[in-house]
Amino acid sequence: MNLFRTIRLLSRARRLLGLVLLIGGCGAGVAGAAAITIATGTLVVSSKTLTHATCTLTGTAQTADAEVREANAGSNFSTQASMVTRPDAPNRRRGYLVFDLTKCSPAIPANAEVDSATLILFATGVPATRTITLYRVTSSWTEAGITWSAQPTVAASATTSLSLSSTGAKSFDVTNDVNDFTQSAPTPLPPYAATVPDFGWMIDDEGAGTTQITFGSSENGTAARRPTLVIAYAS
Amino acid sequence: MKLKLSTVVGTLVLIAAAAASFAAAATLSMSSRSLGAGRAAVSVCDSDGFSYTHTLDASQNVATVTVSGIAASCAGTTLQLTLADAGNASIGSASALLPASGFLGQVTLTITGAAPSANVSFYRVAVTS
Repeated sequence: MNLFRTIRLLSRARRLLGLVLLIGGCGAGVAGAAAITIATGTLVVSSKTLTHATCTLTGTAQTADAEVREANAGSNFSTQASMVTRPDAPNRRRGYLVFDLTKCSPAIPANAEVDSATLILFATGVPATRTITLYRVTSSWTEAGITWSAQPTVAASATTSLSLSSTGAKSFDVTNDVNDFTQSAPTPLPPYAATVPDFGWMIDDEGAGTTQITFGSSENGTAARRPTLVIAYAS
Repeated sequence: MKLKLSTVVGTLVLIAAAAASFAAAATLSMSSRSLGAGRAAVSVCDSDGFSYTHTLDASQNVATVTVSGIAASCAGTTLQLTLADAGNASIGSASALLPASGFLGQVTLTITGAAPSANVSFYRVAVTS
């Protein structure tokens, strides 16, 4: 009796096994079909994770800056505590400054993408409302060697400009310039055909009149009055 | 020995389910050289990744992204780029057809959607035929 019952059970189990395996096989077949659909349409799937960080540069070890004066065309003014702009010839004055991006700690990785870059200049003397314009410098210069007669070249169009009517910290958006410096170095990636060298910026007052605007330089005794570059980047 | 029908059926269902899951896992496997399942394997057109550069608008949103380092064998396909935030949500995207002839291995995409650069945590790229 028990033997017959066991045989019947095994027979039913065999039929069930076939059914279950058929269902399982269909499931696997559906999974396989889905994968094939992806495989036949997708040639590459790629992903890059971006890590964001910030670098702040300030002070003489990380900044080179100087003022040039038309009235003293052969003299260098790089060790004073301030930089002055003045628009009227033959007494024009301009400032130049550049930050050493290699001094960032941790170092900015190769070809990093900039999220934002802000140049903060502290205006210590603003006797009248003036528009201050920044130009990207396009040729090399040295802090100890720059004079009115030996100025570097600058970009044809301004990086940014800002109307100043009071003293204090003034923020200039230099994101696109710094983005070019970092993304193109050390090896330029498309669309850059070459590395965009970081020669800093010229600070200029292109208006009229005799107004002098004074900014703290990297040699300023008050740290908060020194030029500062804040870079937020991703890599 | 008595065998309960429910025990037999339960065991068989488990076996079948396990077999199905193994089959699914196998079809999802991907090598560095090819991607596919069964007889439908398709060659991957680029296996060494891409490089990215971006430009920003005045609000520091990502305006364009240049994807470079694309293998010549991807010419004639469509590249889709998605910018995702830390939660993996899409905050910007773009796509472009890579030219079939004269392809230089790079494409510049204009991003649709306001994607603050500081919020972009992932670039996702899919190249499809």
